[in-house]
Amino acid sequence: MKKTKWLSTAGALIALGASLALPLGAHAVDLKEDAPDFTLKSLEGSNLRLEEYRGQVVLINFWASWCGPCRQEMPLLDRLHHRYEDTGFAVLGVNVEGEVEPAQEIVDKTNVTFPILIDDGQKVSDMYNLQAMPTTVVVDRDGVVRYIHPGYKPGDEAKYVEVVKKLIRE
Amino acid sequence: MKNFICELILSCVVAAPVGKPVDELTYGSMLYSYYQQEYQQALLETMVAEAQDRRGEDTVRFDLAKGSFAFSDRMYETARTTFESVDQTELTELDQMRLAFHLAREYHRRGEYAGMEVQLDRISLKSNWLGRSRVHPEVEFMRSEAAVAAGNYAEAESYLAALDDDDPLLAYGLYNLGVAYREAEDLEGSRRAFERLANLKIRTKGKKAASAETLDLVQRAKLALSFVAREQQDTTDATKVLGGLPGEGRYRDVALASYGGLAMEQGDYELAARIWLTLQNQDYWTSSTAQARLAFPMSLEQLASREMALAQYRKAEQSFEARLALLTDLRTQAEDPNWVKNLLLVFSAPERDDERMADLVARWREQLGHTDWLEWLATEDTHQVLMEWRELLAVRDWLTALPQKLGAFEQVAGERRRRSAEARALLEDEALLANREVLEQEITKRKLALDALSKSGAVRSMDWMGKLATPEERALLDELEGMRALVSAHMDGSDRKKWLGRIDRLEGTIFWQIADDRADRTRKLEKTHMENLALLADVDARITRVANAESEFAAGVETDFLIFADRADMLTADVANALDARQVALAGELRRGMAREMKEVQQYLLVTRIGIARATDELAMGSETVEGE
Amino acid sequence: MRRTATRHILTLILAMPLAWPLVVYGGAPEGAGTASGGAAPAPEAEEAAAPVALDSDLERIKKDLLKLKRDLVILEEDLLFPASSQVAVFLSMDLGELFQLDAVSVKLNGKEVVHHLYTDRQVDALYRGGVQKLFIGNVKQGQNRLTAFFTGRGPSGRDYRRATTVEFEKSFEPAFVELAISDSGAKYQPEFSAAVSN
Repeated sequence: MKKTKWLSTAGALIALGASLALPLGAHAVDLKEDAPDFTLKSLEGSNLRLEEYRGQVVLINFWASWCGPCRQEMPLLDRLHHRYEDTGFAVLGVNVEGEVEPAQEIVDKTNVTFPILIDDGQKVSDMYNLQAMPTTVVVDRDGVVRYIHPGYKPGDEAKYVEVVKKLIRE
Repeated sequence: MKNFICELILSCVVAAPVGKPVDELTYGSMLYSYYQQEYQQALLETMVAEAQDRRGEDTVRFDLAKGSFAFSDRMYETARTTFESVDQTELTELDQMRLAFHLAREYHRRGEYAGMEVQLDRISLKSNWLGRSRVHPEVEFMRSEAAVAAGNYAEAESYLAALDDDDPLLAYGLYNLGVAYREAEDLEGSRRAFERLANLKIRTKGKKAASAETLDLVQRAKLALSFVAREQQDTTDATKVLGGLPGEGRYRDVALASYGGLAMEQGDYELAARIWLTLQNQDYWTSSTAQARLAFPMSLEQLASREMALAQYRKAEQSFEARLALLTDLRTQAEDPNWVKNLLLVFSAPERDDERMADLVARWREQLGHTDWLEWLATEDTHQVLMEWRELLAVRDWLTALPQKLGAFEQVAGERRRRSAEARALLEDEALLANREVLEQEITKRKLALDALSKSGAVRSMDWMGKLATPEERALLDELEGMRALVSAHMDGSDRKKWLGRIDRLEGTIFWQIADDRADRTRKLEKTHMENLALLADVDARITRVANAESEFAAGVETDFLIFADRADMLTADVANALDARQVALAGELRRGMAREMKEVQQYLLVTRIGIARATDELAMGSETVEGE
Repeated sequence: MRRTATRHILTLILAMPLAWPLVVYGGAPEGAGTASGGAAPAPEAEEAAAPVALDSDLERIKKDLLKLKRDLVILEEDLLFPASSQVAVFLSMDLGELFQLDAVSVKLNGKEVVHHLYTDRQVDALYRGGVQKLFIGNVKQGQNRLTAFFTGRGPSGRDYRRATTVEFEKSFEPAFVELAISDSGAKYQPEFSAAVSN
């Protein structure tokens, strides 16, 4: 059961129609909606697309190199990634600055192994209407946003674990 | 050579070579969606292509593709009628094989292996199938399934050997083989199949990453291996296998419970006790966590702490009794269809930060534990219904969002309508068309004059000069003409002659100026004429365009919105009915699941009570002995 | 296929832990097993487990839904990209060896209209003969210029960048531009070309 890409295609076409001066409201990512699709280049060089992760639970972590809590959080996410990888779970890091060097530096320091995507042009950050840094979004196997967590304090990862465990059991 | 040069000079403009016709591009687009497993999208594209008359010459190819897409999207009726509509008399050999392939799939789906084998026999891939490989994985998979059904397990294994490790079909094939072996009580064979599956070289990321299905089947295989190993009394191996299971995910609890059982069998009661304790402390209730509550005191008994065991037995008894009471209560509630509906909605709704939802979720959690009731819906049939239910919810959401989309379209349509109305007004407005006429007449007149000018030689007359003179010259000429008239009227004699002569001479200068410059000026006039012609052509083109656009637009777009809304409404009603039907089915499943669990809990309760009795007895006996001494 | 197998194994899995304490541990439980049927308050007889044949209504709904979507797609195309201004750009691959296409960008009359990053799955779909509908938009009638660039990695690991440009005359009919990546015979290097059909 694969959902059609109708919604995103129509969305793109409607956006074009907006250039004919139609009033269309800003689209913020809300829970229980399809997670907006995107394709970004990873630090390794491959292009990864969110929709190709259908069937898996995906934790998207938006971060920046200047943000301290982000750096704290990443090794914990890496642990999560390893622990649940075999059960159909993936972690995607999205660097919102859009540049390779600062991101690569942080990755070298923290030694994380999950894919780091570079949001060149900040398009994805816009799509997801980020309010805080870092922000964690968890998407279920059907591509629906199930959990949004702005910011990070030590101890928050326990909540992530809970949500992920629940979702992988579905 | 040209291409080579153009590689170097990136801005090289290549004369456009002939490309694929639109029909080919359309067919290719359908395939692009299909190869990415976007079946509904692919099917949608075929329907659009049909409506736009872009099926192409090879309609057989088109129909086979369409049927294939429908089948992959589980629209079996559509697939069947599409394949049946293919004219079998005119098929090429390759197309015949393709058709046989699709029919085989349908038979396979229905479990009619005899029919499937007949079709499979028609497929012999001496030549390339998709142009890339000689073996079609799905064909080999189906052949192995037929072999399994017929009990020829070795043959099945040989077919499966043709599949790649990362092909989900291989996982399914091996799994089914393992189960079949076990049913035939060939534990060795079963073990081999499950082992092969558990040891598949699967990658979790990258191009050849295993699908979620494969990963799931591998886990199940590992679990199944442990059971088979136990049946073969090979407990050491079972431990090793269980150790290989991931500590998380769907099968975690069952794995742990099995591990605990193994530990008990091997006499390692401490390990067992630890495992049971872990399971028991989960905040949700499943078969495994229930079992742990009972098994924990059992393991304690063996560790010789009878008092502790008794205490734990009593604790277990309490929890079982409480659970039973809860289930009885829930059972009654489950009679209410709304209760079930709300439950399913909670399932489909995510965690929200709003209070109301959080309350609701908390309440459900309290009553039911985590996702306990998912266990009740764990059979394969129910899984199908649940999937369909979610799919219908997605359709309903799409339909809900449709009016907004249609509204946006209506606005675009309105805008276009307005513009074309404006354009038409422009058109129909007398002035534009009339102006065009006037312009044309002007142009024709000037052209005639120009022609006459070109033909004749230089003529010293006002007429001729007037055509070619610049404004200053004309002014001068006019002045001179005026002066001539004055002189003629008011002077006479020699003065008159003298002045007329001067005027003549001046006029002559101008004339010669013009005559010399004639070619140039004629050219300029011609150029102006061309420009005017172009202008006229442009105006004409615009008029035509506007006329065309208006007519194009008027092609029935206006009325469709209401019809769309109507169709959407009908669909919404259908979807609501379908959802209800499924909710009823799921409710029934839930109740059955509850009944199953109640029975299970009752059995556990009984065994617990027996355990209590026994432990109490032994404690009493032990204390008697002590007293007696 | 999948159904039969997994039902079996699930029963297997679910049955085993249940059976274990009753079978392995002590003699009494076995007797208890039979006694429990009578002693415990018997739950109501299990309702007939009959999964309703719901397939047909779902298929009918999907069919109606697809028809609706089809009509919407056509309407949308007519509205937003009328034939007189429509230009559609497609991308196809015809290569002997897999070429790891990375990204394609398209400029129409000097303005960038598309920048697409290709995932492995998409490249695979192209390699197998799929054609991507890369872009659909509007242009004025008359002369238009389209330039496309691609980057990617060949089988030897070497990086390639190629470009192609085509000028076309837009008429009243929709314009179709096909960007084709192919190997040029003996060279085994990916070539980029553009073709227009009206």
